[in-house]
Amino acid sequence: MPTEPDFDRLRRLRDVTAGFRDYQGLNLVPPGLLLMGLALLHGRGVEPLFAAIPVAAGLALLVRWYYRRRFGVVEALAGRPRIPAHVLLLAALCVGALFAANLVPPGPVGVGGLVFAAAIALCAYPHWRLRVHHLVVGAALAVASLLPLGLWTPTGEHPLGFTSMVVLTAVGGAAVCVAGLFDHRVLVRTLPAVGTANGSG
Amino acid sequence: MGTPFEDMAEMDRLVHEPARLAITSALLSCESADFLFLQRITGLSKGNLSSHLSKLAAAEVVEVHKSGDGRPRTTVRLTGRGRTLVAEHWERLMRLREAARTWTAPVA
Repeated sequence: MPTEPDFDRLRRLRDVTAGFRDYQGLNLVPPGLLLMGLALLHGRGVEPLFAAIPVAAGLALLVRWYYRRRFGVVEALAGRPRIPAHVLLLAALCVGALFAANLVPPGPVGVGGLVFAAAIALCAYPHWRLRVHHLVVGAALAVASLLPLGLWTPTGEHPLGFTSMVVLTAVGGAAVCVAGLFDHRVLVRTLPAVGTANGSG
Repeated sequence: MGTPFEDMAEMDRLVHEPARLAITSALLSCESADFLFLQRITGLSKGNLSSHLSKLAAAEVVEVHKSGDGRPRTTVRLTGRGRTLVAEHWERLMRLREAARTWTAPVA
C-alpha cells in the first residue's frame, strides 16, 4: 500500500504527464526575451527586429530539441481542458493593440499590467497547486498595476498602462520568463535525471 | 466496491509494484509516452525498464511500439484493458487511503 508521500508523488507525476507541454517552461523564455528585447530596442527602427525574431525562433527550436532529448515525448490525451500560454499571450497583446490604437481610454491603474497578470495566472489552469508560481507572479504584477505608480512618472501615467508600452513589454516579458523558469523547475524536480531515483527491478 | 480488506485482496500485484505503478499511472494521464520519458519518471536503467514493460506487455496491459525509421524510438501506451485495470486500481487505492485515514484519525 503506498504511503502518503508516495500518493503525492504519483499524483504529481500524473499531473506533470497530463500537462507535459505546459511544464516545459523554457518554451516561455524566448517569447519573454523577445518582449524584453522589443522594449530595449524601442525607438531604434524595425531593423533590429529582423535580427531579434529569428534569434527568438532559433532559441525556441533549441528549447524544443532540448526537451525531446532530455525528457522524451508524451502524446497528450485528446480533449484535455487547458489554456495554452501562447493563446493567452496573444489575447493580452490583442487587448494591448486595442489600447495602443486609443480605442479604449487610459485609466488611473495599469490596465496593461492587469491584463498580463490575468494571462499569466490563467496559465496555471487546471493545475493550480503545482503551478502556484503563476498565481504568485500574476498577483505581484496585479499589485504593481494597482499601485499609484503614475505619481512618480513625468507624464503622470501608470508605467504598466498601455500608453507606455516599453515598460509594460519589459515587465511582461520578465514575468513570462520567471513563470517559465519555475515551470521548468517543477518538471526537473518531478522527473529527476536517470540514476538519481531509486526503482526496483 | 468491497470492504477495505476485499479491496486489498483484489489488488493487482502486476500493477501495484512501485515502478510499474508509476509507469501505468503516468500512461493513464496521456495517450502514449516514449521510453526516455518513462525512464525519467521511474529512474530505472534501460534494462530494468525493459523488463517491467515486457511483463506489462505480456499481460496485455500496455502496447509497445518500436519505430525503425530515422532515430529508433519506442512508444508505450495502455491497452483498452490496461486503461480499465489501472483506473480501477487507482479507485481501489483511493478507497483504501480514505479508509486508512478514517481508522487512524485521532479520537476527539
